[in-house]
Amino acid sequence: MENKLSLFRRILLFLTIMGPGIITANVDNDAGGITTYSVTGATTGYKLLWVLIPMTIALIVVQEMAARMGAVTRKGLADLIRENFGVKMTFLILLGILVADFGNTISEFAGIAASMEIFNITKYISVPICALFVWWTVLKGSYKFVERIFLFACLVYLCYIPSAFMANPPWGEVAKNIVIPHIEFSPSFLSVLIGFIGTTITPWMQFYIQSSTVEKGLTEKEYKYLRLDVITGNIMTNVIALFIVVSCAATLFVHNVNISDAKDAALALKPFAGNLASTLFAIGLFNASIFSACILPLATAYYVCEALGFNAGLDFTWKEAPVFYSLTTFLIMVGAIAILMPNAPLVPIMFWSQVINGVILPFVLLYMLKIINNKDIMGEYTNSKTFNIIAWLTTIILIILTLLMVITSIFPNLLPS
Amino acid sequence: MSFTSAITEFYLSQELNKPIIDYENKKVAHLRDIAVCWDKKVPIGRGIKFLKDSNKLININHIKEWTKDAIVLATSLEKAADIVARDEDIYIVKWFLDKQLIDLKGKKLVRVNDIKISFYSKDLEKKLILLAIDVGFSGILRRLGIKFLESKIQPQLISWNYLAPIKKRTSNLQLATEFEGLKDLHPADIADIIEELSQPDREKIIESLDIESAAEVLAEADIETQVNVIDSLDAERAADILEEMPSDDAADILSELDEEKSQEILEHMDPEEANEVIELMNYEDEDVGSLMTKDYITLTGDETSEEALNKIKKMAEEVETIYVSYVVDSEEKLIGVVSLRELLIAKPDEKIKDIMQKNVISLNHFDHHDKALEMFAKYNLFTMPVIDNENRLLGIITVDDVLRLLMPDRSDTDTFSRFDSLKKFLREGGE
Repeated sequence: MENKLSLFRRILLFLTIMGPGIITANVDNDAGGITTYSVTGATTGYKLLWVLIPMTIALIVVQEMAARMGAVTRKGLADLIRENFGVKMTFLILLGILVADFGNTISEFAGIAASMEIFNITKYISVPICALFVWWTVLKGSYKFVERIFLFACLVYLCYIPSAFMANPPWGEVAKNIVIPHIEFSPSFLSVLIGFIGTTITPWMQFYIQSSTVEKGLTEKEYKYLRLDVITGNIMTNVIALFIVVSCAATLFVHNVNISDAKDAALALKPFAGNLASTLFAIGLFNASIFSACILPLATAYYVCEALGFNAGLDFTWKEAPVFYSLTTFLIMVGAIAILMPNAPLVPIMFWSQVINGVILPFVLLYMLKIINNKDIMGEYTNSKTFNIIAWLTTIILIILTLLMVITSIFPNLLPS
Repeated sequence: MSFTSAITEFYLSQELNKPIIDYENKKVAHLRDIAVCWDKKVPIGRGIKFLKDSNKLININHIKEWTKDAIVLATSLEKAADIVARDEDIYIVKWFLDKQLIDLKGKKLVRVNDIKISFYSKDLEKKLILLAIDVGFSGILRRLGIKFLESKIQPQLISWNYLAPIKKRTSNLQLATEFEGLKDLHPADIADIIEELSQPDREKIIESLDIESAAEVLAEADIETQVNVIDSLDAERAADILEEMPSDDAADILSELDEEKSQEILEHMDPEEANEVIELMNYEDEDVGSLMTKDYITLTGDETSEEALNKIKKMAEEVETIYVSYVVDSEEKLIGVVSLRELLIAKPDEKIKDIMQKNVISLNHFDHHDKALEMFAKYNLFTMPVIDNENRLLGIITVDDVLRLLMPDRSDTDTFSRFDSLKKFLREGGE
């Protein structure tokens, strides 16, 4: 028996550990995310592509910290926040995340409805079927099975790449815009920029990646593979984002087509990039919506129960963890029903869930930094000096941007358009 | 008896920041935390912390009464605060509230939502005792001040007699504690608990156990926990613990460590034990050889049954099984087995070679472990000898070794043990 890990074994080890980082990163490209990227491409062209690189770094830094905390402490983020900052603060944060995720779940089902409407399937058929599918997958499938489905869903995202190629963008200009930052101080440009970053980094992701690290039983020993998982996942996610922006920029921006959501984008692509591109775009949207609709309710139920001391996790039966299962079911079912209600206040719900996310994020990031630099908790795995500088910078910039997002969404008149 | 005695019971969450009134009815301070001493089953209050950065505590004995609205002192604050915080004091808000403790009755980790306390006063004798912790949702609601819901839910209390700390903390240093309560748990239960703990907490618990118990606990844990713990110990202690474990388990753990560390541990081990382990490490995962242990009783066949029984008595402590003894010739070749039952019914002076069974059911060390499974089921055995191609006895395997194959640590519905899946990966070349 060879004791040293050969390269082959290392690769296998990575493959078995792979999951939390890649899945978390991809959930980020949910219905809301894809809408944001499409609108960004259609309204600003290639001007904001450069943001993707710092954004990738920011995401990697934040998620790497959460994954590291999970591996070292073997506790979820909610647990750690509770142990260090008390039950009241934890409860408020979780309540906020619960409300925000509820809004997000609704927007995922809206994404499902919209993408199926492109294929002329009415939402009264698509949404109930998908809700049942989501519910069954999450609650009846084994963890392994669910994770496999998720990893497969991550692959489907790749259909945005051919879709972008069919739009025939000027690749030279794309490359230039990726590396050369461009900033305008016009209100409309700033609001797109803020939205672009605001939808990308959300509080619940940190909870999710930390919990799934713990759930997977990863420890500091496998930590470097986990880091690789996080990096791979985030690079992939932002590459996909790049192609979404590019395909909309090359077609809709060039021809001055105005769109307001991802469904419009898919339909508007048809005349410029062809039928197939449009179809691929729609498939991507459907996949992203259903994928996030699976994870969001589950993840939310998971850490709410974890923090409040109820049994949580798919390894418990319905009898053992009634709160966990009913909460997950509630989120899925009510999310689906909200879409089917003729005049449900969808816009305000999504609007407020974005605002709540923006309010919570600073707290979560600051708590994370406090915990991860605490030697009593993290031992030798606290942040290094360099990493701390990057993490603090990231945190401060993200806090400023999300606060701007919150302020401008509540008081839209601050930025005269 | 004209003594007045009073017992009040309350929840910690309701007492935080409660005003403290001196004998002149002046508000002099607020309750910030309570220092307790936990060297018996139940923690006893020593004093009340009322200042942030002071090491002075209000002596429990100077409390006149504990009312709904205030804590009334029998003297002035200066006089009442006559004790100094000690290192072994435990502050319950700081170290218990929202943290985890070990529930010895439910054999799991629980989180403290609230603490139920009793204050008992009889003339000059005052006692503050921690009665129980609330682990239910009512504790959370009480903490959040959502009263109307709280009254509808029964508190889930765990009496303090059934609690043990994960680690004993003191204000400036952390000591490993004796974990008295843990001693009464089955090793498998302790193993379940340490699987859930973070690395430093695991180390603390393993360090607090003696070598034998540590080996027993570790043998029951899943492979990742085993590797993780052994990896964190210094080579000497790791070697001591591994020596106590069945040699096949030890081999499994060492082959997961990096080469340097496992070499170092092997060097610290007793040479004979180390050689056995190295031998086992050379087997593939699915070989019967990787499951066998070397701790068994051999006889030459020339002993009388009385002598054999005496040998069994002598070795009973350190062998895997005493129910079967293996008879080998001068070249270590297996020539028969004899069971304890046969030895007990035989006359004391009967020779082993006359009572032993010569047709031995055995496995080859390169057999696939599925074959072992089949044979155990077919012949209803508890142990089976493992031999090489020359019929030399190499070791024995027991039915629980193969049972573990049938029941991997975590089932498919559960999360999965990384090592299990990795091994499967390697074994099946991909899927």
